[in-house]
Amino acid sequence: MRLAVVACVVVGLMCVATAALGQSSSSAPPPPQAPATAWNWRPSLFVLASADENTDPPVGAFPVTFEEPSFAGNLGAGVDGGRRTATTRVAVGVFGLVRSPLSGPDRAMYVGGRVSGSWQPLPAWRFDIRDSAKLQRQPQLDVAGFQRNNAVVGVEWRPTASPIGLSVEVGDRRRDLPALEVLGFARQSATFGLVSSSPTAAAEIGVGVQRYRAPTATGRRLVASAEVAKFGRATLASARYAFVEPRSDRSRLFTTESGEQAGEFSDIDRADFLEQLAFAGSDSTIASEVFVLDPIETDSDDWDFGRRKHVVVGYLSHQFAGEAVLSGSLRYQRRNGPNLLAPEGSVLAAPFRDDRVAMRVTFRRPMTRSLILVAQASYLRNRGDRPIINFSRRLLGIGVQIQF
Amino acid sequence: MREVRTLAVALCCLAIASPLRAATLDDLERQIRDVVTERQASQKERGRLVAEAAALADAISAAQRRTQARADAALQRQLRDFDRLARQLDAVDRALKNHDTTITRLRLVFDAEIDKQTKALSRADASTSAARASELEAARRRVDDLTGPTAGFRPLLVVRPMATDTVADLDQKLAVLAAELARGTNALKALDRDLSVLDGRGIVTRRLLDDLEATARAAPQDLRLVQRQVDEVQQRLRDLELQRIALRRVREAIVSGLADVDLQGRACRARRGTLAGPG
Repeated sequence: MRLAVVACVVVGLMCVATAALGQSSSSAPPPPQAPATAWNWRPSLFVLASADENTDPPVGAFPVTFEEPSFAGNLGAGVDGGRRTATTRVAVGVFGLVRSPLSGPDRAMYVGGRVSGSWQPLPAWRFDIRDSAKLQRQPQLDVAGFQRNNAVVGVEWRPTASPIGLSVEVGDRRRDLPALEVLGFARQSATFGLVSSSPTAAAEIGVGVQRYRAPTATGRRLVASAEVAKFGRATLASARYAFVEPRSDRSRLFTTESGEQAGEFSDIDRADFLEQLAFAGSDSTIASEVFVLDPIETDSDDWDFGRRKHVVVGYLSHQFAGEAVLSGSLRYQRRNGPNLLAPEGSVLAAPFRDDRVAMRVTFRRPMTRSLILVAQASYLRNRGDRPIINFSRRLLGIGVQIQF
Repeated sequence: MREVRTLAVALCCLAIASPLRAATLDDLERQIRDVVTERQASQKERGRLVAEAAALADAISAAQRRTQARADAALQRQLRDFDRLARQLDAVDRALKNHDTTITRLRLVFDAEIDKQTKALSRADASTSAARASELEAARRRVDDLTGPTAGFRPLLVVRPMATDTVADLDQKLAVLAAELARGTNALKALDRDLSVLDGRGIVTRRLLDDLEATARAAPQDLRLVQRQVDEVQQRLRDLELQRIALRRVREAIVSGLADVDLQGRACRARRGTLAGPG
């Protein structure tokens, strides 16, 4: 709460400063205004086939093998739009997907949306807002249901002609799994950054603090990060390192409606596995200009509170002649610390370590003006000092996007 | 002893690092002349690049009107060529800016040196100081000529026929108007080339922004700089648009000035015809 208040005060002060600057400069003759452009909407349909291979260890006292089809057909629809004016930019994207629509037990539905916008009232000031939301339901498998929202508001100040700027961002990320209440959480963050950029390169260092509240734990953690990016005519490359250090974690007693403690899902490894299962419905791979379904990278390992974390992310994208685009990302993370999902003092709560490597390669090639070939391959491997968390996933998807 | 040696080395380094302080007036004048010559070469190179880029930008605009396909191979090739030219143009613009900065810096040192030597003349022998003073004044004039104002378009001079004008007066005015007409027409051509280049830059930057937005959507969400670059490129696009609007305003002023020059030229010729009589 205190963090949110501080963040609001900082943003409020910046708004006041901006307004004051705006007033002080209002006596100057108005600069020429660039004309606004109209909203531009682009709907799309997707038809994709996907194949996946998973190696998951059996879990729990009564190991159950969850059968998943190796092959699936996917139908998707999306629309993205945008508008640019002299001082603003808005981009909106909504995407829906049905996996195996003709197969009752495997049918899964997914809807995601994203909006981002920026406002530059003065040359030195820029405000950003970003929000992305996901909603997933799998009628035959309650545990697969989840919803998540991530909202960020930021402001950047960079004097004209200065290569260095300062930024402040506040964010809120929260998710809810109706059938696995224990895995829900709400997390607020504030990040202060120093950014430097030129037309062809950029770099940023940032420090921040996160506050979280989950059914079994509450606390804070510090985040330090460094990021560099290079922007070429046809190639874009970026890399980021982040270090997360937990602070003042406190366990909370959690019982389900039936009076059971969180023991059933107390093992963070199992929780992780269940999350993997929950997100399997959206594992069908999509590489869309509207949206990239990337559950294995961004959502399934969200619940790692109380653990020290090192994350390295790299991204490379290259555009070939004929507008074909090949892009790939690589993520490595190492986590170490206790399992705050388990009751404090229990065996399951003991610290453990795990390493995760995730890779993704995406290829898009326009065949005609409205038909685009899309293909994606991804790989995820998790290894740790508990056998149950050793698993891997491989995914391959190929299909077409029809753009209207 | 070691401190003295260190101090001596530091002083030597300073002396090497700032040769301007130790330079004579002749050295400074020569350095200014060299930089001005380099600047003129860069300016000439800029003119060549602008002409080439303007022609290519016109071709790109025509091709874009002809085909709506983003992946048109010929258009892609033209855009790549234009991008290469635009980068060369940026490099030349940076060189020109550096030349201007160097000239300003050298000019300040030169003026300071002239002032110092002028003050020293008051303590020198009167018979030699007069000759030296005129040498200094000559050096100052030469450097003034080298570093005189170059930038910006001076508004067209429009002279009007008066009732008291003689034929000779009107001939002089017609000559002035003809010179201004030529100057304005040349400036208009240069502006049109600059506008074409800006249009080309706008097309390339707009495509870059579209591509970058798509790339940003596909990039891992925790990579902030890719998202941020979208806003940076949009700002670049906005700056281009503002430059274009500002150039259009200058163009309108020149077109209006040329119309006025043409009008006054016709009036002068009519008045001259009246004064000179038939035949």
